Amino acid sequence: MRRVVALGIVNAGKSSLLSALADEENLFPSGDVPRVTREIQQETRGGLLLVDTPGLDAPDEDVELAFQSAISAHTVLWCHSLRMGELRPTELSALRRYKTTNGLWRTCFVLTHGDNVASFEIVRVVSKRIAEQLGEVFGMSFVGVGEKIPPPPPGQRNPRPFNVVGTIDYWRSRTGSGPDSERRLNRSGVPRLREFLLSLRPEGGL
Amino acid sequence: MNGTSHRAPGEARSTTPQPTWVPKQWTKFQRVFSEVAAELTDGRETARSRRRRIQENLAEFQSQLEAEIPWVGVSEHVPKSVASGIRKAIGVLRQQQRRLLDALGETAEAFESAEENEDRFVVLVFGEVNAGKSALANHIAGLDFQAAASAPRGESFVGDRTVNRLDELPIECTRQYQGFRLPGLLWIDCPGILSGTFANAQLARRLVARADFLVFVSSSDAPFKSSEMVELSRIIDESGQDKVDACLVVTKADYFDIDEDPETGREIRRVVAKERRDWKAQADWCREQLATAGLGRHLRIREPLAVSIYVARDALGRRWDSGSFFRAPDENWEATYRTSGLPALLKLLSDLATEEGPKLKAAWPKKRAAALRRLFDETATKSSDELTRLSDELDSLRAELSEAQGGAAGDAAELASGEVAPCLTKNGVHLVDGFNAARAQKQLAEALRKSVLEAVTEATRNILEKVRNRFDAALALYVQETNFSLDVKERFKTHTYQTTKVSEAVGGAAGGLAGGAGGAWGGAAIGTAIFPSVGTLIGGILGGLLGGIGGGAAGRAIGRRVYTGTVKVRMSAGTNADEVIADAQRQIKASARKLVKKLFEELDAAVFGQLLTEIKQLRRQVAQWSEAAVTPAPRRSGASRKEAEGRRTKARPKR
Repeated sequence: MRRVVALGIVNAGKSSLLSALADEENLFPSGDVPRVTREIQQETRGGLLLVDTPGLDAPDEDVELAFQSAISAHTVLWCHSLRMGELRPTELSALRRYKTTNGLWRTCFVLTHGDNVASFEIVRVVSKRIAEQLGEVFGMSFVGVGEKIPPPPPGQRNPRPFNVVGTIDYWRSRTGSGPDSERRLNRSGVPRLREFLLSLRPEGGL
Repeated sequence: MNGTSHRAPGEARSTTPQPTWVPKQWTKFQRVFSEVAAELTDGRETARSRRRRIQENLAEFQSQLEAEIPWVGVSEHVPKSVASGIRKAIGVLRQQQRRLLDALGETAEAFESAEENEDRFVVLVFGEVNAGKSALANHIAGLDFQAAASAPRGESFVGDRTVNRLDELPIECTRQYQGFRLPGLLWIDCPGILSGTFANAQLARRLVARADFLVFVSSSDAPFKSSEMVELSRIIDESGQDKVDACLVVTKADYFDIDEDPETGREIRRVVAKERRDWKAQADWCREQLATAGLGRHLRIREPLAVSIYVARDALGRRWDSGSFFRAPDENWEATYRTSGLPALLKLLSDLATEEGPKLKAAWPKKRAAALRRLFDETATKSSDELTRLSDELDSLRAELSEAQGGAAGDAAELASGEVAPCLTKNGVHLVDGFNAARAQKQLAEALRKSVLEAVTEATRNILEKVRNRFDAALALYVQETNFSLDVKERFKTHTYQTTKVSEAVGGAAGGLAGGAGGAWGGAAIGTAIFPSVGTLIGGILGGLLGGIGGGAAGRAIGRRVYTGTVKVRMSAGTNADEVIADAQRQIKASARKLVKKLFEELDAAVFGQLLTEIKQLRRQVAQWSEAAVTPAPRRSGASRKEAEGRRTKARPKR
């Protein structure tokens, strides 16, 4: 069983993403007010053990809990909502703390709400800025969405590119049918991410 | 109808005639402000005279600190170097108080700002990075519906630069003072709260003291999170006002919907206002957050408003992100515009200006006074708390020393009295003619000195060590604490604290400590070294006095002069030898007790008496600091001071 833990600040889209990965709407309840997930919740669906955590701007002990749960993960999905623009100070400080757990190698950065912003231009601009911010935190070069990936420095691997997902698209496509739905499903980014997670060796690592 | 296809940039732009769709709510909004501004009462004179008063008061306090340090009730036998050491310690306290006053003065000055000279309403907007403040400003400035050429248009600015419109990129957080001016209105985006820079926080503090109305903005994606509420309560708290003229606005109350054109396969994005149900949940959440933070009753307008600039622009045929025109609005555009929530916000502001305009406007000097008072209060409380802690520590040290006095006196008396019989016997008290009274007396005086020295040394050894350490620590802590949290001047400029100044101020207390520990017992150190470290001085004084009795190096001369006189054993020849011995014992015991008592008294007066008197005086002064921000003139008469202190204690729970 591959243990997948979602991390991120409140309303970063952790619960919606996990529900979509499980293909079960509202499996992890999410909502419009920033308080929904207060404790660790985990469900097993389709070969993945999905773990939802409290937001990283929650009280300190909750953050500790979230990090604890990430330590034993095969993959960490670090979520950030594109609607919120660049990474915030709270996220940056959480990332710096996260860096000390040496978890980068099993971390997958997911930009959520890709289908809920004004234009693709925003996805491009915001992800580029986030790549810079992550680069500052981790001392590696990240690339934004649609950017060319430079060859990695000798002896190193490039960090994985960002996954952009949109759960509105995903659920829409699940209710419809035909080529439109197919396209929508692909655009949601969820199947690709799910496939990727399932392709991981159960002992972990990217 | 609340959506339309999103076309590529550049399309249908230059050839279209200038659009003239202007929401009537905005027309009214800008008219109201320009009309009301014309009849505003000017608060500048009030503000200036208030500032003059504050400065006079502060100058008065400063001059009190310049006064000579009183030096009364201390025996002339306390070495001069000790006296000057204690003065120095007092100097450290005063210097620190002076710095605090300086900082308050500079803060009061810094609160005077360019905004003061605005004959307009000043609306201040707070919100996190990317909360949508810039888009809101651009829209309210009227930049999303440029009407006829004669119609007013907001003049946007970033810092002191004029710009066409504020940048709305989702990656560019508001780092600078920016906003726009309309007739009768100055709208300021406060540099993003939670943006982490201290200078911004200070600018915010100053602006709040000048603003007529505050707007707290949060994104609908995660509205008014706990971290934002913390910031919000801080702003409200620092304003010093009980009821703040402010409202909450939730921005980005919208979502996007992507469809594909079945024929062309092109993406169609629509922006839609959030459903009522969702908004209701958010509004409830906001109210709940306000209640949790205990802020509900401090806000003038408690009902949160939801707005979506994108929906508004869409209704007006404008591009969501840039606001540029790309199509004519459809017939129902006004209805769609209403769903954006902006008409409600415009109406709220217009009503406010109409109904309360002059009153609100006239209130700003008062608001500034409240903010300053709050700041002065904070500084005074901190300083007073620290002084109290210092004086409590002194009191407890004093108590410990005086406890030691009893034991030391008893021990000294016993020791000395035990010397009497052997000494007198040796000097022939039992012989009719051979009693050398003069020599016996000399020897007894020596025995008395030794006994007192031994007893006092024994009794105070541990305590003195403790006193030294604790006193130095207490004084250093006072300086450090007041520096760290109250160096307002430094804080205003930068967020790096000037920690080096602490050690300067304490004047190398640690070095003094080490030096003092060695010198204290011999009494020699005080003659040469001067420490602003009072703990060392206590050891030094005692060492000096003891040195006098025991014949230590530097203190010898002093000791001789002071104490020889008390060590006289009167002996009448020819009486019964046992009676002579008993009498001498009685006398020597009394002398020993007296000597120990005198020693402790000198010590107490020189150190604790002076310092505690000074601290008491400083605290009395500190109690008046916050009054200085509001009172018409420095309070001198006893009655009014009492009154002021009474009010102070009422306002704050007693420690």
